[in-house]
Amino acid sequence: MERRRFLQLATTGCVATGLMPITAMSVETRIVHPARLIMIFLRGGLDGLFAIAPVADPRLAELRPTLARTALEKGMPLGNSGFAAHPAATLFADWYREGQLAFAPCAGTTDRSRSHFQAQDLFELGSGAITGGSGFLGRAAGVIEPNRRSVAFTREVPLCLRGGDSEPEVAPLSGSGLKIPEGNLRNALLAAHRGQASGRALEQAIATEEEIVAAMGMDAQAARGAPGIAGFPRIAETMGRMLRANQRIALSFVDFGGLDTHAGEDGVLTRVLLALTSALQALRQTLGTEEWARTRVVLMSEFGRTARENGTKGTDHGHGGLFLVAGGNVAGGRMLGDFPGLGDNVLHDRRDLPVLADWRDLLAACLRASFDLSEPALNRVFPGRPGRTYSV
Amino acid sequence: MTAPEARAMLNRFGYGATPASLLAATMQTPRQFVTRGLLAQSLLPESIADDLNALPIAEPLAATWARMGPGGTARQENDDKLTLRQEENRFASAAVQARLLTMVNSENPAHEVLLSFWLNHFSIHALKNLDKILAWNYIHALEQAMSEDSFEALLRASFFHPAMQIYLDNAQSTAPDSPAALFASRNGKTAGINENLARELLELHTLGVDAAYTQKDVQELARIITGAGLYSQRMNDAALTRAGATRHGEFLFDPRRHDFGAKQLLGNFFPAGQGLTEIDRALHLLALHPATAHRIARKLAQRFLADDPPHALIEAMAAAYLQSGGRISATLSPLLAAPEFLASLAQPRKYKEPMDYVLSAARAVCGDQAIAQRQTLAVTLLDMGQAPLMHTTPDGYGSAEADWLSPAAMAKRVRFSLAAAQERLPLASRPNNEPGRLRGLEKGRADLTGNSCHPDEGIVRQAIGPISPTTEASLAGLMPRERIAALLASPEFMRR
Repeated sequence: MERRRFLQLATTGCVATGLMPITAMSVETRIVHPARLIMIFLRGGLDGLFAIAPVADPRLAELRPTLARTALEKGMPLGNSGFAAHPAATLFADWYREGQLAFAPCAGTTDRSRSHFQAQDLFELGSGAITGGSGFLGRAAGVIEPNRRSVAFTREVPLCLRGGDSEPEVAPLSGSGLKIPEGNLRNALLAAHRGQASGRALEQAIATEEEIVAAMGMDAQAARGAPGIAGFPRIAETMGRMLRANQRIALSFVDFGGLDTHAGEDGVLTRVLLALTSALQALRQTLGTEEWARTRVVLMSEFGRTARENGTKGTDHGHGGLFLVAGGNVAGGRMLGDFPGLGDNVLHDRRDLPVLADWRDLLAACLRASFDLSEPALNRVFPGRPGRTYSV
Repeated sequence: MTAPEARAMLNRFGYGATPASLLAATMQTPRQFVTRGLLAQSLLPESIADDLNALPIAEPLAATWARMGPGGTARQENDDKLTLRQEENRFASAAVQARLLTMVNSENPAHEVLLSFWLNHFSIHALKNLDKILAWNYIHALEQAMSEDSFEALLRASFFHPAMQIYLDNAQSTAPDSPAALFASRNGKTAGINENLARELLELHTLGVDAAYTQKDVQELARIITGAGLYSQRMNDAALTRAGATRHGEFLFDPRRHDFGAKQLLGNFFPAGQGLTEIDRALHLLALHPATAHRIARKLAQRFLADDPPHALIEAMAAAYLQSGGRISATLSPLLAAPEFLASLAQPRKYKEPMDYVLSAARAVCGDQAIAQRQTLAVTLLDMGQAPLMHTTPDGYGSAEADWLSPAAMAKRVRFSLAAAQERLPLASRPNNEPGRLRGLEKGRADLTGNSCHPDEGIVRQAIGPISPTTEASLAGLMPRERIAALLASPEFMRR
């Protein structure tokens, strides 16, 4: 809390004097690796084959007579990887060309249940177990530099951030926010709740609200977006500003739902991809070139979906799915891991993409590249990971 | 019950204590209180009942469906699509608000809490497609089933309701070699299986994800439930009769979409040639499965006792479930008699979910005065992230502390308490405007007008019960209204 207060005063002061960049840098001299990682978790099972489609695979059109049509006709190729970005997500192809984005088409967890909820828990825990008290971002915050922290831009504390050494920080950027009027009532409540989980949450609300206000130049209301992924572009802009103003935040987490496209997938995912890519664009712009170069954005879902489209122009729960990493300093323009094609004999249970790149190895690669973490440290974050290395 | 027990029961199996509800509860045992909740209907103050009757959802579903259902009169080619969409949104919004008003004003609180539990177990999303106009009817279908005191009745009410068929995409799921699929392919369309409802039936509604079922079971169940779906005005009634279709309300079983092949579900052979009867058989099998008994027992114990209930108690509840053929009252019986439960009434530990918190705070502030401003409740709760039938995914809301205790939750509860204490929160008078759009209410867009309640510190304290010396000391020096706000946002009132 001490350190945190100090930073707040510093950033608030900066806003007042208009000298934010210089002052912020002088505050941050103690940070050795000023990198950051932003995890975007898409709940519900993103259909990776829709977003980035293997258009060179001869079976694509046969397996997905309606869902692959747009990508086959108007997709934007990702180099000569054989994949093309859906027209609603041409940003992926642009960034790939710039060398700022890499993707793994067959990434995923060890989940066998095809249950959203179990697979999400497995993903967020990152321990290989389906139950437990600590998530991988919570543990990661404990092994990077001690003065750096993690924050979730969500309403509630995600499992991913729970169980770390420090109280998780959340900075919800939709809804009515964290403001608690100052005065006697606030002090009375802090006293009444002191020492309890509810008291720590109250203190956290007060501290984080001050930070949002500082980053936004006092207009905290303007910082908030609509609920759901439609509000993500606005939220991403605020995230960018907050991250720029608070080098303390090394790890960020944000999540969205609405990806469970069992029926009428085309319309739903087109809207999602448009919101997602304009949010990514906003994030990059707000951060600016220098900060973008220190940033890795990771995007993943709890599982992919069936290779074959189902009887209702959608897809059902699958296994392997899409992993994306983007950033100014990413070893991009590449595909990570293998893609075995869509032949029945290579599909998992003859229906889904297999998992050829373990989520823990991919995320460990990102943490290693960003924060120069040692193998023992990475093993504490992701115990029991297979240990394949990826260059990201 | 003693007065402290009654207060605790009103917080555990109700949405908070008011003077009259406390008095009524003290004349019952905990078991009577819960049994009445299961078996007896709710009674609402007349002004509230009048308001609900004036909402668009009061119209019988058959009439709504004829107008706004598939092929309905308001859905003709050249009709104004915007007006129709607005009307659908009004229906969804009215259903959520009407449910909140019923929950907060009912003189049978256990009825509403138990119904909310089942609505959350068989969760649907009021904004999904035609569920906008079906949501209110879905609530009533589960309410009616609850009075049968049987899990299987609840499972069937949910499955055989068009709202669930739509929500989990089963209404179009079609056997690939069925007459309907062949007809579609002759017209250049595709039709086939969608396994969404089958998976969630196994994973969420009955057995649970850790039970011993396989992907193959999901696919076999998806085949069994093909043909279940909706009635549409576009259908030819004579052709439906010829095809042997069965209609219950707006639910339709259409044999022309059904897979009549033989199947194998959880080791049970389902012979070829069966239609609707094999759905009945599958639901019966799932309802009385030991894994379902455990799952329901654990979930009830988590909601009504503790995040991590004792293992032995879950076993006892599951055994009672199986012995009684899935009766809810029998399953709850070991819980209500458990020493842990009685101890928990003296020392409530469960962190209130947003609906528990907001409704109990509103009741503490309004005492026995009716709470009529449903928009205030809806806007507040949507901002806090919990409202009836508004969870988007089929798992429903969690009831654990980790699901709800967060900086944002605390900040919002403090602001809500202050607004209520300062009489800035319209609760007492009925809104004179339209139900509004849920998407708008979610963003806080509402014209919240009307009278607030005038809180009485004595009634608020009576609703909270004993408070700790630390809390009492923290109140020193506060102005009267600040003191009421501090009581409403106290650690004691956050727990039930």
